[in-house]
Amino acid sequence: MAEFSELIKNFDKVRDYMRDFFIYGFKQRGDFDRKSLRTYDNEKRRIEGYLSKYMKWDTSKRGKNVYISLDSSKITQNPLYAAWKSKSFTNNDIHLHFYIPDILRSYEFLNIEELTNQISKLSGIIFDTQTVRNKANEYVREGILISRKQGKSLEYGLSHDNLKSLSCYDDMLDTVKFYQETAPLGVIGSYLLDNENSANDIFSFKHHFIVHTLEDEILFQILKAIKDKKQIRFVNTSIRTENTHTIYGIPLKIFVSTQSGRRYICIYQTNRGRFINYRLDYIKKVESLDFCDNYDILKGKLNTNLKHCWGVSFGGIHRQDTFKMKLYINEKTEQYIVNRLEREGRGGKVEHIGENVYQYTKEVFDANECMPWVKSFIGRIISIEGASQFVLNRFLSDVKRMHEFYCKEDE
Amino acid sequence: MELFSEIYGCYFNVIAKILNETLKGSKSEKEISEIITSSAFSESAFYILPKLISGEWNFLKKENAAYVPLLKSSVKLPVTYLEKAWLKSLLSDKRIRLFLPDEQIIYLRKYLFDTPALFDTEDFHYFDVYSDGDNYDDANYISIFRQVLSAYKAKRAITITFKSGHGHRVTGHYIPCGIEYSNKDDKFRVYAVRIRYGKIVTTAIINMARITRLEASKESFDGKITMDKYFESNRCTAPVVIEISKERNALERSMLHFASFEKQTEYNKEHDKYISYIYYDKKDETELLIRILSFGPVIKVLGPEHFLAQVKERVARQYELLFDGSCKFL
Repeated sequence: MAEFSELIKNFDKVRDYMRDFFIYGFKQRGDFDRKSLRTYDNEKRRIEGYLSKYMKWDTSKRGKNVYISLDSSKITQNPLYAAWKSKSFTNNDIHLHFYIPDILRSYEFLNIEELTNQISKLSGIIFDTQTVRNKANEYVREGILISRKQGKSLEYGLSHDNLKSLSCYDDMLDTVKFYQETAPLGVIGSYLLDNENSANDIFSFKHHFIVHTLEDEILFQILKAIKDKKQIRFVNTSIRTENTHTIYGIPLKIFVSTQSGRRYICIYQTNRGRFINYRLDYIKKVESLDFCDNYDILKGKLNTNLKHCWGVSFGGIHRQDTFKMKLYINEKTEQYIVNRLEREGRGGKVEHIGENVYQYTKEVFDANECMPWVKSFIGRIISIEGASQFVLNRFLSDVKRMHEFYCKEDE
Repeated sequence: MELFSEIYGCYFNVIAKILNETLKGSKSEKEISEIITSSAFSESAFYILPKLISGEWNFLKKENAAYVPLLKSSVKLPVTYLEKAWLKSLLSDKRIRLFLPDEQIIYLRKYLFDTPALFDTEDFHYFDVYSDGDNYDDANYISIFRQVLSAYKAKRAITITFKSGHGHRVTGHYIPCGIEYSNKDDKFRVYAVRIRYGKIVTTAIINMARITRLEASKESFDGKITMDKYFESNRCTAPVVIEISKERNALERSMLHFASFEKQTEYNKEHDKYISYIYYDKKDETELLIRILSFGPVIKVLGPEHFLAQVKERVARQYELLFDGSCKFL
């Protein structure tokens, strides 16, 4: 039986459990039926180790459930970054990680035999040159070491790039403290701060969705393919239906919702001749394929279409709707609601069309996507046009339902 | 380049800390254990300490009941390619000039010339960000931001003149105690305490974009400044309680949507629904209300009373607008 370890080889192992504890904190041990109960126990124990401060327990009639709960506007660093810092390693890895740079601080360059001898002298451990060579080459690829050819052999030296040498140090630290929570792949900023023995002590973040760092590996692979203008193949699993499909497409842009934190990859599917968005948290594995010759043309087409996307949908058969919403707004005392329409309306037009009546209009691919925003104006909606008849009927029936359970009793 | 790598791992970081501390002066086993406990995961001391003490991880040697490092110099990694590529990506962000003056940005671009950026800001489309975000190109805004940041770090009082939410001009002496950013609003806000004659008179949250003037202040405050009391007094007295149905994927949508709030959720087997308790800052009550309403009937508000009353009022008004021909609003 393998001994428990806090560390893991594969990030996917902890990704799904962490998401479930954070998003679905009401689940109990028996509800996690994807893998064995032993796996649940190990992953729970690991996550408790990473996030001890934020783990809570609740005991109900059904049993005990564990959940992660925090007000993300009060935290200064994403606690889920801890999972990114849990990669397992061998004894050779850890020894060479410290001894190689330590020795190279005293020498400008050494060849592999000299380096191996120095490590053995200092550490008291005998390493073979191939092991040291593999680690040195790995660290050259990561940018920790540099190499040069000296005659027939390769020599290794320590990179002298450090944050202090890049620019004004204090400004750089402030920059990293901010962007480690706001920029994509912010966990890398957290790595930088760890190395500087520093932490964010300045900024807090509102409307901050920390769980999405769990799909950063997927984002990382996709961004690489975007940079290289390559087609991708990925496995898409709906958490809801548990159906799995392999999807092919040309990745063009990451769509991000600042109001839910959800991120999507917008791809062009050649066989369907259209743009489609897929949620990053549903994607399990990404592979880069061939270079795409007409990448720039497709990107240009997407950029032209963006102004008609309300969210992530490019519409169905009817490729464009004129969405209109009429609202009651007291023009003397409720100017702030008009400001809200303009601020939140994603480029739509706001017109004063009558006494205390305003109309919002926007050309969109899929007016149905507007409905959650429409419903945030409940109490003011006079009429809606442009969405499908099904959605309009559903809206009317929704209001009736809400009236039934909120107001009928009082009446 | 690897994103998930032991190079950036917690264990390597804590060993680096131990080596740097023992380089300054020998440390006992207890002190080493304390470093691990304060810097690593909760069970890490159990795994790391025996390996260091036994020599399985051969970095320390024992000298007079304490430990010193075998390594000769302090441990600090160079900036890796991954980190440089990420830093380069930041240079295309619209907010970078708040932190780095133009000459530093130019210098960085030259320095990182050979490093391909991990991403460009054009690779991302934030489709629901509000359109009245702060103007990061405005020289006055940049100057104000840097002065606020500097005053915050120095815990120094500044005289701020700003336009309040009601359009009034306000001037006062403030010590900034936090800077908040919202991705959704695309705005910065300053949390500050107002000082008069060396005493705290009130707390304030000021939109950075509303600040019109900023000067040094002669005021000062010697005590500890924290917004904890403000947050405590502004936390809701009771959480909003909502019942989430299983229709239209409401559970997943709402759990994600309200993920930024402190909350607790349980399953009600009797009604086959989920009950969630959402804790919030009182100043965000209206925002929370409209966000809940955006879900329509798949989320039902159960309490508290004053919140429920607001929901009922809006729903009643909406019903009247759509179904009552004699609507008094039109």
